[in-house]
Amino acid sequence: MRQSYTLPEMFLLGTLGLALLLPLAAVLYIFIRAAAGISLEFIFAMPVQRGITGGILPAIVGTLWLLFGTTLVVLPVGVGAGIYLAEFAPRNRLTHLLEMALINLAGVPSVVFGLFGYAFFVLTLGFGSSLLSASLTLAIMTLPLVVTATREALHGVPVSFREASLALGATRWQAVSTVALPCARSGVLTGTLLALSRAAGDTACILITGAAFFLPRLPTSFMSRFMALPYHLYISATQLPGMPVERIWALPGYCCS
Amino acid sequence: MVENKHKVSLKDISIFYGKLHVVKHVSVELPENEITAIIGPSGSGKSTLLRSLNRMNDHINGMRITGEAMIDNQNIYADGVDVVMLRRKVGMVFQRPNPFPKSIYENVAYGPKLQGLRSKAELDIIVENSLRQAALWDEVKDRLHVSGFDLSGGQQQRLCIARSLAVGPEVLLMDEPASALDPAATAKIEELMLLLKRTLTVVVVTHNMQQAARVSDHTAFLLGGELVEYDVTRKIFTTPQDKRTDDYISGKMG
Amino acid sequence: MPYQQKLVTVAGYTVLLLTAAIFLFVAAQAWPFFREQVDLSFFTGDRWLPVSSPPTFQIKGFLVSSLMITTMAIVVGCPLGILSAVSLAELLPRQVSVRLRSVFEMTVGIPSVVFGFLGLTVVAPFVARVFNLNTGLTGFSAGLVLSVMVLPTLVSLADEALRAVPREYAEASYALGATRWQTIWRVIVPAARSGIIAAVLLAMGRAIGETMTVLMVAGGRLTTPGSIFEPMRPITALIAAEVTNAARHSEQYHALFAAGLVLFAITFAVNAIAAAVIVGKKGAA
Repeated sequence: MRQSYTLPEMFLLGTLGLALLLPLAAVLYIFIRAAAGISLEFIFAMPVQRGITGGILPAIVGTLWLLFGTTLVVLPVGVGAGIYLAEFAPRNRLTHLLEMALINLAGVPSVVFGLFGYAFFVLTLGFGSSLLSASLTLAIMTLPLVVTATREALHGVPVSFREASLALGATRWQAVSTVALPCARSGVLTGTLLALSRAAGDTACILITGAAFFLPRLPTSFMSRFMALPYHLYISATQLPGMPVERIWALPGYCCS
Repeated sequence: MVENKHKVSLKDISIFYGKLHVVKHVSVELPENEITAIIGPSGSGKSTLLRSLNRMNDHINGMRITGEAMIDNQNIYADGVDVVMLRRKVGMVFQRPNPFPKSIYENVAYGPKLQGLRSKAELDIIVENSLRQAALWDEVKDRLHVSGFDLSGGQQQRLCIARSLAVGPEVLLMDEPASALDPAATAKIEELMLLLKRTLTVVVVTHNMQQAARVSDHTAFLLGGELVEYDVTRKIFTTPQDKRTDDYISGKMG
Repeated sequence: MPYQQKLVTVAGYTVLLLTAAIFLFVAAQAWPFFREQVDLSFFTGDRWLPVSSPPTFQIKGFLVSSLMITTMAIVVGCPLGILSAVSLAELLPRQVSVRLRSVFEMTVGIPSVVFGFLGLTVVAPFVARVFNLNTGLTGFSAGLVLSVMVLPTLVSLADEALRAVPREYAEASYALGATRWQTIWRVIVPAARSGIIAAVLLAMGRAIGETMTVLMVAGGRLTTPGSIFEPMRPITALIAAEVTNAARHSEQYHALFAAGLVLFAITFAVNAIAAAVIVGKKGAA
């Protein structure tokens, strides 16, 4: 069927176009500007002179470590909690409280997670400014995303699959692990990737819990301080007057990809 | 004809959902190796009664059951009954075919695998036997590893029956197993039921009175949660004792 | 209960514990500061002087900045977002909507520091030129950037609310001879009202909590701004900028956690209202 639109409806479609165009144009603009600054040396070399020359290898590696650490924590806890909420949680006040906590955790600003991570992991537990503190903080920040994605994915699995499984003599856990979870796999994966892209792009948390601007060596353990792409971009853009422009533009190119 | 011994016997079963009294004081005995049909209008508690026989209602919030449900003279609601073992003994086929999103082979092998069977050779045998019993083997033997979803509706339902048989049940509960199928597929399921009763006790809930008349040996008529009448099928359909049964089978009631 | 089920139960309650822990821990760090406070000057005063002696910590300026920028983001973002959602849900053919939705979801992945960077290098100079200002690093520029950043939240939630309206409503309206335009505005949008309100509230929560963009674009002046065209520093930016420089257990440290607690309370309230709006709607239905 061919759609036809009246004038006011076309106006509505125009707003949609604008709303789509703004972020897309932003991304496109970044990639065009970034192209000039990107080279193999930029990616694979150590920074020199506070990052004004040389490459950004430690920032890339640092971000990868962060993602690894975050995944290690957020995946088991987040998926586990999602399974509990979707499959086993009884309908009572405590579960209701848990659901409320989840909604609220999702709404907490990242800088507050940063505050908590700083006071708890960095200072109280003595982890210091380190990959460990930052990864744990990011894991807590992204936890609601993974929990919600897992829960929703499991809710999307037809009840009839679980019933068939139970009727064949599966325990509740077997019904979940052999049928429901495999069906929900792609939803869980999408949620986890979303969480990781949040963690990769976050700056406020890591700037409080352990990112360093100039550290021309790779992290050696989770107790190391580290460089990370988004923080590197932040400092380059705001606090380094001598930074060559095309070198800065190259950074968001990586942050986006 | 010699009466078979009773496989399932219900004594004064009442089922509640919260305050709703869904099944009311039903007492009935179902003979072994026969097909018993449960008929009645929508909302008469047929499915609820059926699902109480393998305790599939346990997962519903606020469900309460009183009375005794005996299978092989064991109360399945007694303390200490292992629900998992019960369900291996009492299989179930649902209204809509619900194969898992797995291959035909994996669907049938699912139950035995749950029980820890790993041997490929043994699984192969179980899968073939179950599919043969469900009269599906010849149609799928060359494509055991395609998805169960690729089959037609009727084939899917027979796959679900094969899946149940693979666990080795003694009783098979069928909840309107043909209501989502076309007449040709329905006929195949009915043929299959007649084969199955040689080895199994079958309880089937159905809306379709011709179906009940065609396949079942005994028929129970449920109305508003009460068992109105239970007798040999032929009697129910020719000389019902209760006026309400007569009204229902002659179509004067919804 | 198999041990796996015990494990996921523990994971579930970890979420509850963590939420409580975050609140309690931030509150505990803020407590020494509030204990010393005899009046409400923390909220009503204009001076944030961490290094003078004695130091003064008052956050009215930061609160006002947060309010101004959030208002700006919502005022600009909402019409754009909601009208876009209406187009997606009601005007476009399904296949097209599905594609466009995934584009919106992709834009969620753009890090806020990248938006901040664009604000700094593109939006701020543009604003300075258009409004003839000394600096474009103002609440106005930050609000503009934020209005784009809240779009994905707004659009996807509002779109979801609109699509949840039963098709029968629209069909009943068409059957009575209404045009599509009338049906949208008189039937569908009113029916999805509570979901749309929740979308706006959640977008607001997101705007209040956004840190990097405002830290980079809003200008960073510490006093209460007189208008949105002045440089300013919202409360999130204050915390991010100062917390690692404050000695542990110094007055500044506790004051920053006090500010964090206020921020937590505000976003908590906004989200709780949003949740109540959604739940209230479900209760009524």
